[in-house]
Amino acid sequence: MVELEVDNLKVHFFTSTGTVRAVDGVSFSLKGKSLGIAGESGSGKTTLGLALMNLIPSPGRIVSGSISLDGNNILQFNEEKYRTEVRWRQISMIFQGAMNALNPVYTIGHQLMEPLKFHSELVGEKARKKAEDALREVGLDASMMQRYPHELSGGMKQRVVIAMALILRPKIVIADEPTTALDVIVQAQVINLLKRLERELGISIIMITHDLSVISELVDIVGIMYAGELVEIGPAEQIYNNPKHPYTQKLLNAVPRLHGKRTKLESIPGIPPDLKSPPPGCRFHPRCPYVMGICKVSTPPYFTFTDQKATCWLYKEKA
Amino acid sequence: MGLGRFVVTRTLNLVLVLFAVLLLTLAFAGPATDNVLKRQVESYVRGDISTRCNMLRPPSFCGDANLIKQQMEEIKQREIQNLGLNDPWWSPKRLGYSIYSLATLNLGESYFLRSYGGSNIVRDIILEALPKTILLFTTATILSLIIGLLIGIRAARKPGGILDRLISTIGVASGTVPIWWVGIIAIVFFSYTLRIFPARATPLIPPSDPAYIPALLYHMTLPLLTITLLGFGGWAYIVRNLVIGIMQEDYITVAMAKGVPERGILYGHVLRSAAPPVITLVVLSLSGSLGGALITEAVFDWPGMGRLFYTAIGALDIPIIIGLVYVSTAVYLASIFIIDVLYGFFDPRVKAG
Repeated sequence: MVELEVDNLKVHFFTSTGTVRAVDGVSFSLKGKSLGIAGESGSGKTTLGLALMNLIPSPGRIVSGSISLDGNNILQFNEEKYRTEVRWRQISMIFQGAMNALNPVYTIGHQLMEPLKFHSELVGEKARKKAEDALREVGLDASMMQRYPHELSGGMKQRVVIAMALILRPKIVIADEPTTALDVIVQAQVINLLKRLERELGISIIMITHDLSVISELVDIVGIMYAGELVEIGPAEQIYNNPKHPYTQKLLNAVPRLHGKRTKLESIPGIPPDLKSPPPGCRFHPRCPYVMGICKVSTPPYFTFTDQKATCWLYKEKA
Repeated sequence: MGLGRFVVTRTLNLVLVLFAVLLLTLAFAGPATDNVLKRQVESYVRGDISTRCNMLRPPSFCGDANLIKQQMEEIKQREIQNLGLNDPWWSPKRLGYSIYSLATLNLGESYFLRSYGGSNIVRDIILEALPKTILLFTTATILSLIIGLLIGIRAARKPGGILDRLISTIGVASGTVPIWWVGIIAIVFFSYTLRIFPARATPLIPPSDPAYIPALLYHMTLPLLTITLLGFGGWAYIVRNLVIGIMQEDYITVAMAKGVPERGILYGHVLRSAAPPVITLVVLSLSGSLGGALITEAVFDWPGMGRLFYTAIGALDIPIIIGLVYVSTAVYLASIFIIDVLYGFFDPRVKAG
């Protein structure tokens, strides 16, 4: 069972117009479970995922914090060690937008076998066989090996990308908006596929999405990100049925529900803050309906409720 | 569509274009050629009659000026008839013959220019200039291509870095100055001030001399350096832009995440994706280099295709002009055909056809 521990992770982008604090002090731990990370666009979800792969593009940099995987602080690995020991071998990723995740000039087979080439001793016929098995695992025919990405439909490409992420049997798979570009039917197929693979292979999935309804089916723990911070984290059921942070409550009200009482869909007034100069205190305070004096000056710590925690001053007395 | 069918239709297509270009060239040169040929016939007949009238026993008409005129006109018309010049140049018969001759590389005889071997066959003259142009321009193109490719890739690894900014500046600057102008400056500086390179690119010793080849190489150093140094910056800039663009693609991040080492990403994924546009430019500039460069060759006095064109236009040597246009068009069309076929191999999204 994999243990992932992220502590006070900060990723900043040093642009010519200022420092963008894309991920600003995120901590969570994961023990053999699946995690869902939700939040609006620009809240730092994708950056968090890339930080776990140590693939923050320039001018971004992980400025502080630690990521430990089974007790090793992998951020202290040098680039070569990270590439050979962590990337794809222990943590792999299903990228946002499968349409562009495959190189158009290489065959599906070539791209599937690439991780095998750099991470295992499997070569030639054995590698081919393994890649074919990976394709069958996601419900594709082995004849896809010779095809080029443009010959596949969106759903098929997404399956190939999933097969690619699973081919080395990593401990953790980060799925960054794996269903965003797909129509609802294919979306459901992909979710079911991920669910099945999670169960059968015993891997932990870190699902990054803006669509809360997608995570609810798939993960044990849900974390809510707002403006580079993890504002609430807890068991999925708790988050859905008893959200603590006002932002989580608002976010849930913005998602249509099939069950339970019918309410009008709400939007959250205002826009997410500019991460170059986030508001002081609680970053959500300019949009929060329950804003108090303290929210504007002091950053709230986590207030814990059994296994759920949220950063909101509302719970100062109750805690 | 199969590759075979593609090759056939594409070839037919290009042959049609070639004929269209030939027709245009003939339309420009046709009337002038006719006049020149008719006048040649006239001067030939005049010479012939004066020779015959100066013989010991001249023919009877020589006594009467009117008779001479009549006789001359008669012979002239007969000769024109024999040569087929009585039909206009655009008559199907003559056009068909012209095109047939050109297609079989029978490019006719030049009016004034001669090859170094003394031949006045257009084909010989062109075949003498072509290797010289390949030696200088194709070599320079290949050199600047290789240098540009290597530097461009390096510059793209650190966008905004020192090398990148330097290359971008050189690329833009060298693209804006004309080669012939830099050539003049280079000749003034290296040949007259420093006196390390000869001012003209053609050695004075005859080609049969064994010392000719080293002398030729020495003479071509200055033009080769000038063309290469002005060419590689543009290549580096193009390659740099292509590579930086491709590096932004999602599939490159995916390849990095998969643990592909940097070399594998740069020389595998990136270059493989950059191949189709690069190959188009490479083939086009290689085929373009075969035509030489009119002014540059004139400046360096290099006896290649460009200078031949330059002299032929100056002397209005129409057969040579037609021959050169034909050869450059054919080379250009052939290179487009090659690009079409290569593209299908390098970019699976573009299937031949």
